[in-house]
Amino acid sequence: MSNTSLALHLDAALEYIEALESFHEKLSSVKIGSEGLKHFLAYLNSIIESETFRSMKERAYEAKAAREKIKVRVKIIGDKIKVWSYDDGEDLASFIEALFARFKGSGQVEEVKYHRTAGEMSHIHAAILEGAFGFFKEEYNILRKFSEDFPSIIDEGVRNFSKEAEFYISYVKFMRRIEEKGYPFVIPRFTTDGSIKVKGFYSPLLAKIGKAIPNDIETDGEKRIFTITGMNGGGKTTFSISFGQLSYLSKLGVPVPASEAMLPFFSSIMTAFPIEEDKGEELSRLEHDVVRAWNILKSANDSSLVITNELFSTTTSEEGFQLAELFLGELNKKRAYCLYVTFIPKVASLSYIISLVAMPSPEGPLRPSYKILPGSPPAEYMAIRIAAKYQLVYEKLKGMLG
Amino acid sequence: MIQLDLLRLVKATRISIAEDVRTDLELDKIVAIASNGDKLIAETWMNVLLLGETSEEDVRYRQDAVKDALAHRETVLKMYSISGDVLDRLRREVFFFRTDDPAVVVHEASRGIEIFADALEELITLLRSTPRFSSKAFSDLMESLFANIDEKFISSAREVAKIFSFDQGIDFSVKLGKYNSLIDPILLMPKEKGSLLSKIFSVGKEYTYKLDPRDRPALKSYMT
Repeated sequence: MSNTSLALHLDAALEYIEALESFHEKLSSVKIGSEGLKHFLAYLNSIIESETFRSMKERAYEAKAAREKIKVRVKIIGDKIKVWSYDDGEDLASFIEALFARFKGSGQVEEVKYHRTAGEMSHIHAAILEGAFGFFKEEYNILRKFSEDFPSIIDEGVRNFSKEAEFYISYVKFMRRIEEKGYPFVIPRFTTDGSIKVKGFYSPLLAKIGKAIPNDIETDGEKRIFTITGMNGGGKTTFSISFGQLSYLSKLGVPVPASEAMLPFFSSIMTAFPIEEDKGEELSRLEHDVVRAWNILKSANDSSLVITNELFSTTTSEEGFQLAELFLGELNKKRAYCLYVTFIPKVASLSYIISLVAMPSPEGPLRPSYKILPGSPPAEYMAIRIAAKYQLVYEKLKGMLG
Repeated sequence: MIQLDLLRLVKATRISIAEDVRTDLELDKIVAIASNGDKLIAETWMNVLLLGETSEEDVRYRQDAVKDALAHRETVLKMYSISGDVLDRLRREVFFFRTDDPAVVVHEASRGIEIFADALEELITLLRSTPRFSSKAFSDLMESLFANIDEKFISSAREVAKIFSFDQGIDFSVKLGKYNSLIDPILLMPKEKGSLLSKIFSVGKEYTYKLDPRDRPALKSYMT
């Protein structure tokens, strides 16, 4: 280990000792409820009271005291840097101040603005250190011996904890940024009766820019398949993605973006969202959808959550309905949970379905409210309303063409 | 501290209608004739003329000083000439135009100290060869100057100027701090050059690092 590394090793040890003791003190002073932190506190306690830690601390402070004794006199002259062990010397600044005190009046003093330009250690700095260590052999040996006796400073358990804690800390920071916008987070509770009751859940990505609209989803567990229909651009996809994210985060054990969250512990979360059709591929998009549906059905069970968006939408409405009926029927038999976003209103009429609808704004039927509420699918879609607004409906066109 | 009070201006305050008096009594004309174009004299004249509430005692103090100045005319003119020269040299040779560059500030301060030391030496030599002043104003000034300025002070001031010319290098002490930092730097008075014998005894007690000739900029940057 080089001379400069010896001192850095000591500083690392001092920082570690101080951080561990101060963290232990702070953690001991708060009321801890979680098993994880209680175990870690006990673990910290065992480290701090261990013979190895005590000995490392004692020796680190001894090395620090030795380093503090190192004081050198340096002379920079021409192209030479000369270093001596400091014996004595008259402070030039004090001498000058005393000498010119007789001229000191009460006039204005202009301060010299000094912009320090310290960056990385230069070779001149290193040369001074080299000289200093050369003169203070005893102190140098204390530093060297400390490094040899304690080559590894950080306990493996503490190292792992710091990495894990970093995840929680960064998540808390993420939460705080969203909470500042007025959106709540809640620790989810897992239900055992199959019910779901999630209130005011929202997209954290939209919440970050202050544009999220909270929604609810609820079932007693008897019916587990939800269809989401309704106007174009009405928030159906955002609703299903947000619920998927919430379910995923709840499995990580962190607070979720909602005001209230009770849901089953989903053993698996599976999705089937539209993919771009690849002209070179052998399978059409519909075939892709069927393969994906088949794979989902193979692994789904009563604790699976399946989220699909416009599955089987590249065929006729009737065929699309038939495929949906087969797919959702199988999922229902397996008692799996599903959010099925579709434009085929007939799917919502199946007996085991909870129908949710993207509602228009009260301010106008063409404007979305982004609220998804229980209800029957709309009689006509937004596309028809828009077409009607511009006289592009069959009856009108027929009349115009004679 | 050096006491300089030939006019007793400290306690006096400027009259409230100073600018009106200046215009109405055409004081600028008088000052221009009296100062003969000397800015320092003109400024001092104007300050004194515009003072209010001057006591009789203060006026007598000034009258005595004037009498003394007339009695020691050559000496007083020489004193004035020394102070005028020093201000002129400072204006011409010292440039305090950058206070954010320590190297420039130190260099200019060093040059300024040299100019002052020369002037003070000349002033003290002049005053030592002058018969005693009788007025309180000049006597007090002499007493204060002799009490504060002597050969030792002038020599020390020149030594300081020499140190900051960096011809003999620069000495400082440092301690080792956290993360290999060099902390508590203190500039030190250079040591006297030792004898040959002391140099022989110092072998092994000195560590020297020699910079590559192409590495002078690094040294310059480190010293500032």
